[in-house]
Amino acid sequence: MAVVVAIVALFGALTIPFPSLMSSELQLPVSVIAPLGLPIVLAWALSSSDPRLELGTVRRLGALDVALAVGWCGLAAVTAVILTLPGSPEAGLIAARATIGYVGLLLCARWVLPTDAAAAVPIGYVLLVSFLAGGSMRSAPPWAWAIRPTGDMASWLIPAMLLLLGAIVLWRYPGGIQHGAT
Amino acid sequence: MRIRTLLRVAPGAWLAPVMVGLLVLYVASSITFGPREPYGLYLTARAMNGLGLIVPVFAGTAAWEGARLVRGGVWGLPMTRHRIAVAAWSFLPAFVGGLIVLVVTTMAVLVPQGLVVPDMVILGSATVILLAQVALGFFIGTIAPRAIAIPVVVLGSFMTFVLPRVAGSAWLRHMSGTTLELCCTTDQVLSPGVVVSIVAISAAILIAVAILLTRRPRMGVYPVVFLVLLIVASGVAMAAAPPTQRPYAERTGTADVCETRDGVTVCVWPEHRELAPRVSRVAAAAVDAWRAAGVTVPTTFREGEVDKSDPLTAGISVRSTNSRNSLIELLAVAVAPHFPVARDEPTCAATHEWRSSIAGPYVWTWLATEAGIDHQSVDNYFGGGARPDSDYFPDAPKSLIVPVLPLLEKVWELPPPAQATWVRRNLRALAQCDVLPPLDPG
Amino acid sequence: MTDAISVRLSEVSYAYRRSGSFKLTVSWATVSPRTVLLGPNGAGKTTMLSIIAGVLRPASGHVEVGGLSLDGGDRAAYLRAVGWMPQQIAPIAGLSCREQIAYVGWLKGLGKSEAWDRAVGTLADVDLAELADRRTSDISGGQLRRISLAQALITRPSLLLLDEPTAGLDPNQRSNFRDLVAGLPGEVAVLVSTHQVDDIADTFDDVAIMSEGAIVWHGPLTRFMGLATDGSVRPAEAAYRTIVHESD
Repeated sequence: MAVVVAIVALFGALTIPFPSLMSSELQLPVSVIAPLGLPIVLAWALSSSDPRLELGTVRRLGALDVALAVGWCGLAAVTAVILTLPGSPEAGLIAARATIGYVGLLLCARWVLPTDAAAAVPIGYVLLVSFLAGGSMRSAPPWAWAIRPTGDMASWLIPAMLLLLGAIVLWRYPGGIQHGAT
Repeated sequence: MRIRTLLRVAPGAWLAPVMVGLLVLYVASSITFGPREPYGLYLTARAMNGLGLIVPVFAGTAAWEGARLVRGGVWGLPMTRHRIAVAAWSFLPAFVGGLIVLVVTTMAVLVPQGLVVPDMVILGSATVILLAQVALGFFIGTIAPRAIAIPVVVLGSFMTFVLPRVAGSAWLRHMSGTTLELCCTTDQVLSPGVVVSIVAISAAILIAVAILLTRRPRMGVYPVVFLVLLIVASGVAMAAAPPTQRPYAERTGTADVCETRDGVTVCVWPEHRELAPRVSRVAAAAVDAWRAAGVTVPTTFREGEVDKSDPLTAGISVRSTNSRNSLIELLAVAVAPHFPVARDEPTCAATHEWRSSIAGPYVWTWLATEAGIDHQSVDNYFGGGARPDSDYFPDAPKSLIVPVLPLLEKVWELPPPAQATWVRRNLRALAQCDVLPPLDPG
Repeated sequence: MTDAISVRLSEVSYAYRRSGSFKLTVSWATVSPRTVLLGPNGAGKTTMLSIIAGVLRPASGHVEVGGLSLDGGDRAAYLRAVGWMPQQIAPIAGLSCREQIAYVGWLKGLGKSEAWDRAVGTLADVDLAELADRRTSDISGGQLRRISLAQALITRPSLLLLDEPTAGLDPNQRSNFRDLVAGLPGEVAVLVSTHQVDDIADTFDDVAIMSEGAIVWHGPLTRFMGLATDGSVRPAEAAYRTIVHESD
């Protein structure tokens, strides 16, 4: 988290040319790409547990997993607010929104994929956005919420819904697809 | 493992058909952003647009294979096969899958252009990059938890193609293969520096992976091995072929597809065979106009290398996209070469300052106009009192950098023989370096 | 009757990088066809078997099985002559039982088609012929142990090293596994590490006991059982405790 925050704070506004089907390339800000590190770490944390052991515990470990994932995103949002103070509000908000959406995507993907493979889904989403979302961030369709202007309400609603759905999936299937429901 | 088993269990094998579809779509769309030249090197290079997607995906599947072996406890089994052989068989589907996608997308770019042979050096370089990154992906899969290894390999590999684009260092861009796609127009070839960089860095990665897979040192030694080998490889590559900012070098040899019309010969590269009639028609008309005005000009215009000591031959570089206007512009530049647009500078410019080059825009405008260029084009360049950019001619006297069209108006007011004399004198000056051109028509 | 094969360790030493306290130092030889290696947890049984199996490389010393040397030019022949069933058994994701066994055969130097063909017979040897096409990730722990045994057998070794082969199995599975080992082809000698001493009398001819990285006792089963105090309900366990306490 600290590394991602540092990257966003220092280079968040920088853009990197990504391949695109709709134009020669799409300039994606670093603040869209750097948060990809967070679902990877979260996937690692979730996959390193022993679901069979956890299913038999008295403590509500599923709730703790959900708290970890949602707390992760909450921390990202708070950090974004802090980042708005030194004067790079867009980068911080874009990174916070991306974190919420990517974590949501990871958790939802665990419904159908092993956690290890689900970790690659947010990356696949960013590549898809780069490929198909068009030549500029302004003209991006709603599903490409990660690169829409931060003032667009829908671009916040979709990642929030993904996170909510993902949290429900995590609650119901703490061990992921391999280990079934509680 | 049997081939059938590999095909059944390896994600690299399943992903290949999906990636073929996606990449063909991507490369086919991206090629529309550049000119369509039936030049094998150029087209193969354009197909490398997809390399930055093919390599990360298949490196990711190789990481999966590495993790599969670790989870299955294979590295803990006593084996008589060499670990490198075991690893190679394991990541073979990822490598072959990537290679198939690479070749199919290249063919998808080439086939619509006719019978164009792909450039094997570019394909080979891309294959080496793919092999190195797939091997590295596999290795990371053997040392990192799978949940981290796969996304990190995909993202990390993708970034090796994306980040060097924004980095200023040619070295970084060359070694990742990012510049392959920028190669080459018909009069260019791939720079040896690019190939050497790619091979050196990829070899360093492969050697590091081979050493680490075989020796299994402490974790802390891993980055040291990579770093040392990368530095050594960089040094060797730098010494062998210093990378230039551009991934191409001038194509050597002489264009040999020639067409003669009214005593004017135009020779083009074989890839421009279909352009030869049109270029020779425009050239014959232009030369005829210049001769009629009393100016002696070259009678042969040739792509590729030209003999600079032959005053009757000039160099040109045509494109399939050239209009009649732009062909006249090219021919006028060939007759009156000047900085910075000259394809071939005079020999003296290699050792002396080319002071006379300031005459270029004025003479070029006269020649182009005489050959029938659209007035709008001249206006676009020099309308509104525009003059040559003084940045290009820092040592030229200010009195010589005057608005082009007003000076030309004065020239055009002269009788035709006097105009021809003005042009001839300035063309002579342009061929020398230490003289100031006699631009004043008075 | 099983053939005898010599196992010889000459001044073999090994220490784990991260655990400075444990050090294995062994000079030992056996020609018994069925030897059991006993010892408390952390005695070094797995380490010693791993060294004989060629998985761990000793810091010094020399290992020989049936006249083949581990560190000589005949390493490949050595590794094919020694079958290894480790304590930790994991399925290779996506592979069927037959594919996994054939793959391990290939790792040990068999040709692809030879390994593929042999895998069928080896599966039959461990009574799993009917599971040939089932994924190894979909079978039970006991079946997985048999797959591991089949992996060890595919090169038709002269010596089979079994590290805690029945750990985690229920009594029924344990009995089945013991029968399986007892029914192995006669030419395969067996060296088994375990700390379950209750049923060794039915299976083994020789007993070796390890403690703190060294062989502290080695002899025929009859002599070992003779160490039990008279009237012991569990004579093997009593004999074992006598030796371990003496060595302490």
